[in-house]
Amino acid sequence: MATIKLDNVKKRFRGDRDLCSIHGINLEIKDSEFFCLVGPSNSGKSTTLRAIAGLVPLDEGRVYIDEVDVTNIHPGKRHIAMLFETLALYPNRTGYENIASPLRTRKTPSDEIQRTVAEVVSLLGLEHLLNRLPSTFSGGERQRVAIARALVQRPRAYLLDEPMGALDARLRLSMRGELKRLQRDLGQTMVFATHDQEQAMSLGDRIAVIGGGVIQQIDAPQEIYLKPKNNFVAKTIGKPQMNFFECGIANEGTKLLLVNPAFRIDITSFKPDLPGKAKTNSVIVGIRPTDIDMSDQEESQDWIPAKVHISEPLGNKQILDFKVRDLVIRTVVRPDVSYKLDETKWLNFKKERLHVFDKETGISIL
Amino acid sequence: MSRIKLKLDRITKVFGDLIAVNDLCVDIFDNEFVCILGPSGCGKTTTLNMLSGLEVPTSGNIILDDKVINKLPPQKRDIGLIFQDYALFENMNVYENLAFSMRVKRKPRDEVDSKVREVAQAVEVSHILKKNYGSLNPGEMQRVAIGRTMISEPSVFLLDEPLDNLDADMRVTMRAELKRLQKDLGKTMIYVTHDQEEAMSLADRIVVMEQGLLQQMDTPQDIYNHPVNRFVAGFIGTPPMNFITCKLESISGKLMLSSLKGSFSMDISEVGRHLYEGTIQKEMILGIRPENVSVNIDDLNGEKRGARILRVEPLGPEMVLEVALEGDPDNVIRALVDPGRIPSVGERIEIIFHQDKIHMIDPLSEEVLI
Repeated sequence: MATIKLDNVKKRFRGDRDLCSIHGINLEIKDSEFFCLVGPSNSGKSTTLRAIAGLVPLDEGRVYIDEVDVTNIHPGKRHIAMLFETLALYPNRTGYENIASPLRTRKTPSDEIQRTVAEVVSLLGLEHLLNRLPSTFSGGERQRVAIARALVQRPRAYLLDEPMGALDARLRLSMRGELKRLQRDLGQTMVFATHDQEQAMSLGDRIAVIGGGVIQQIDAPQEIYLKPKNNFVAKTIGKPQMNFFECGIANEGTKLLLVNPAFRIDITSFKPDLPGKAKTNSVIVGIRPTDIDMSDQEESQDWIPAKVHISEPLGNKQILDFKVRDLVIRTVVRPDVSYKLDETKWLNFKKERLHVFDKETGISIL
Repeated sequence: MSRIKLKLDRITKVFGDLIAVNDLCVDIFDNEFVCILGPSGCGKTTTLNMLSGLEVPTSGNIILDDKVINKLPPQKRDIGLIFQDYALFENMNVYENLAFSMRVKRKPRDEVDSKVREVAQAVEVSHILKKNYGSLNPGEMQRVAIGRTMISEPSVFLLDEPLDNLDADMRVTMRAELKRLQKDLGKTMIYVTHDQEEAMSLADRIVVMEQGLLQQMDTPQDIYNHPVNRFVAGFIGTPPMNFITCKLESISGKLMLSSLKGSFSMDISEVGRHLYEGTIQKEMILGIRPENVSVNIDDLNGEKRGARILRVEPLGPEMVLEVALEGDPDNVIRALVDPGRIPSVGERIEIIFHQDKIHMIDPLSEEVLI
């Protein structure tokens, strides 16, 4: 059981280290929360986890676990277990010895080791792996043994750094389910770092999107998806990625328009206060591929004529890329929609789902 | 009808005790984009190696443009191979990379120049000919790699998981570009991958392999909607299809399908009308895709097919619910639904199977009957 708090944590790496610098991370992770850190590679996820674990000395800022300042406390004394992408099992030790290794290091009495390992092993169903070497394990089994090794430490919290990076897609899906159920059963705090937004969305009670060593937004998954605070978050969350277009704001009579060489969108009734909020006349407009309607004919004069550029059937839906002049607009449509390459269709952006970002700062202005 | 470009006629490859590829028959048409898809160890890479000439089939024939090419060495095959890491020269510019193979063959200078310019135009890299390969973005690299292979004018391109080392967003963009490029160039391409989503999105037709055997060859939509066996049904589509062991019974003239523990029972007389007599009174596997399971979260009328929520995965435009049937907690079912109110774990809901979308799988042969 643990709450974790990071207060303005800074760490700068010089030269080309594998880790990315972080520039003032503030986080409050609640007790028994499943908290996901998501961001592209080199965004500072791993550094943040390491700061919590105490594996990197900080330049500035404090780390609190259960409201106790642990900034200067040795990693071994923080009672936090960390799981790395590589899993780092000892290749020359059996499953049992791998799981027992943290207890042996702590010089736990051997009957207690036996009892603890047995408990964890039955919880995860690993009985068949105890006498085998890691080289004979499948990807999922390696993963479970690594988790078991974290569990026996009875830590206050778990930190997981891309723990499913090495698994294939199918296995990742089933491990994801197992992990979430395990966390719920244990009722313990987990901090999970990943570059995969789908994993973060599906696992996290809350998500922190991190980029450039700075937290960009913290919120519940669906909130982040619906209301990204800036275009970085909008780009990171959601698949396929949001479409972004540079547009000008124009008044035409009583109408308020977003204008671009490829299209004009009337936003008079949806975003009437835009001109007051935008610093300049030029903004970035974002629309998710799932928030675009498509039709075979021009439903109203607002609809944009667009040519089918490429299509990708995915079974229960299909991605259609359209071209309007040089602009590519990606949409997600029903699987039974038929089309021909370079055929013209009409598109309509769902206005209530439009995002508008400041051109300079990328901050959402609506 | 297009003509057959490449024919794999009963190809088998044996390594010691292992039959890596077993009696594979595939016809690939001119200008077609075909993906060979399967998990690791299914024989897809061995197949690719036999096409490219790195392996010789133990039996069977590879026929390209009506000529048997089994034993021709790679360079004489008229087949261009594009590797996962592209294998281009980072220290050379785009022009030199494209010209390389012709220069090695000591072709006259102006012939090289006109060929390079022609290819550069086709793959749209004319504007970056002087750029160093190492400084290109992934999209440009892909086009140069294809261009480099085009220089030797192969009649078929083989691609070995070329998108594998890119990050997720880039992959989605690159695969769209690759697909469009293939259509514009009008070249036959064979693409090997283990990623079902990639195969679905790219291919005109998909060859699904498992354990050296051809499982199914069809368009993506047909494979998705009409898988021939349990392997294909489970391998294609994400989240994967639900499988529930059921019993098929004929009760007062109706064909009833019930779960073994009796947690649900449905009349499938309509969809099951073509099932043969022998299947009745037998166990049967019900296969249903998550998007064909709907849920009723709010107004419950409190009767059959109740279930409890085990897990909720919001994914943005949609949401995956993992539920356990009441009285049958081992049957975990995934439903892919629109996100409305997000239910909480443990909540009781009602689930509905879309009857016209169900599959029936014979548990012994694993064949899909419906």
